[in-house]
Amino acid sequence: MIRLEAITKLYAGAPRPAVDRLDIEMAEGTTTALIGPSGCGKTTTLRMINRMIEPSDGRIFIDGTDVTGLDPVILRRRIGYVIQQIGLFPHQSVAENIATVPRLLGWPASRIAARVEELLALVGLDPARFRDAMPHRLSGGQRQRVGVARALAADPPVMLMDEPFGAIDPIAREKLQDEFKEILRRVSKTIVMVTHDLDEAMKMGDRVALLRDGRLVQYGSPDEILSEPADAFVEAFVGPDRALKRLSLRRVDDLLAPGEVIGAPGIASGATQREALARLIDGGSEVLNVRDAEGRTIGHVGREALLARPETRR
Amino acid sequence: MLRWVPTHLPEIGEATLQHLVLVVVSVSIAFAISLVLGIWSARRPRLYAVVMMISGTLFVIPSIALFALLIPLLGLGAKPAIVGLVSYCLLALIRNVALGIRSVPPAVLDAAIGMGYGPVARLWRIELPLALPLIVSGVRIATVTIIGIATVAAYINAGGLGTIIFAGIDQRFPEKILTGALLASAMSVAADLGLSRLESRLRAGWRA
Ligand SMILES: Nc1ncnc2c1ncn2[C@@H]1O[C@H](COP(=O)(O)OP(=O)(O)O)[C@@H](O)[C@H]1O
Ligand SMILES: [Mg+2]
Repeated sequence: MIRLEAITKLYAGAPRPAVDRLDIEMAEGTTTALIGPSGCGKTTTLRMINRMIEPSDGRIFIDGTDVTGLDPVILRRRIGYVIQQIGLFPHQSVAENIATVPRLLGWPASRIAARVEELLALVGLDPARFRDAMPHRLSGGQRQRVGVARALAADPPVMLMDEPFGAIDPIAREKLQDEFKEILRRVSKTIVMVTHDLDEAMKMGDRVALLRDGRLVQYGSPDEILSEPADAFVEAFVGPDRALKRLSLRRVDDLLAPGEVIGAPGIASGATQREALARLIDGGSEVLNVRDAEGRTIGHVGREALLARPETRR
Repeated sequence: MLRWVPTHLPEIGEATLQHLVLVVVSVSIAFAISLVLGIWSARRPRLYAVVMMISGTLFVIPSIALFALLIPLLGLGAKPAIVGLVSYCLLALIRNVALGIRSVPPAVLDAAIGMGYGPVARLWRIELPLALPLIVSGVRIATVTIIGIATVAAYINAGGLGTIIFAGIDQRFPEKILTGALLASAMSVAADLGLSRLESRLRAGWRA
């Protein structure tokens, strides 16, 4: 668990704090998306957690320990760190990059080698092909996979990620988001992820913290932010299509009615309600049959159900 | 045509060796000094400006004058010659060490700090390896520079290829002058080529 208590950062010479008395508690094993307009203090907040930036005031606890009392170098080896520009070490192979923290921690070579193989497989890179590759030979997406593997190497309980998809081209981005979400779910870490992209925050975050001018404006589940914006700023930030965005958070399976409707078009189980709505509009139909991976119909979803205002999920 | 060279090979060999020793010893000492000063000043702009001003001033003192000025302090021979040659290496070496350290991409440095590298390990394992091509380039420039200047060191009895050249001038004996000059040039070209190749081999592995 990570707890920020009245955390404040006033940069020398700045007229007002970049982060202003921020209180947030992030539950163990969850992903919190820090979001807000450029310059609102997201990166500053994130980098205070691993003490890359020293807070001017306030305290930060990780699992009950005040990190401001720890040796920053030791602290950082227990916190995964992923940045937009990735920052792979260009003179080291993929395996050496991934081995960074285990080596700093003095693991034996055999344990490091085994861990590198395991991580390459986890992030979807064939060890035989990528182990000895140099970073400049990799695509942007492959580099960030290595970046995440490197951050996970010593199995830190906490991961900090600053716009991890920011350098990935838009076509590859969505796929990588899906994969990272799955990887991060499997390793079950307490993750703080900075982003300025609302859809990304909604997709990756169990909870979303919306900042403005260094202050916390709203902190809640993606659905809460979309359905009950705290003020006009949040409402404007999430945009006029927030009802549609809420549908993106939900699966057709949640609205499943029993039975097959003969002649109705189909949609895959696991598709979002937004996709279902688009399919209905496209097909000029009232109902969709929901099909499982084998193509069997497991029920149907109707237009009424899709258009009903859903209850807010906290 | 060659009358003197074939009968004086040992003498020529010895002068060449002396020359090489003067250069290698001077570059090595300068390298150690420059590593310290370059690393220390790389991210301290004011200190860097002062260091560059001093090493720049040393660099533009005419070599014959510098050697002469060192005689009252250090006498004649190899010692003042090496001190003088070291001072001519500093500008290129310190500048390239500092440039090399500064050439490390900010994201790489940020990642290294964020992963838990302490300052010393970061220097050895990240910053210096990445700075190495530029550092080698500095060594190359310094070496080539002082191979020429070291011929003047014969004037203060430091030996080297300058001895043959000066003797040739005194005796109006062009073959000696040419021999000394050609050997010094060949040494420069060899150092330039060798160190250039080392530099590109270092870069080829990773390309920043
Ligand atoms: N090192 C720094 N020195 C002075 N001001 C800074 C520094 N880093 C960030 N700032 C300022 O602090 C504010 C918050 O920055 P940052 O945390 O990077 O925002 P975000 O990540 O949300 O875009 C901005 O106004 C920025 O200009
Ligand atoms: Mg930022």
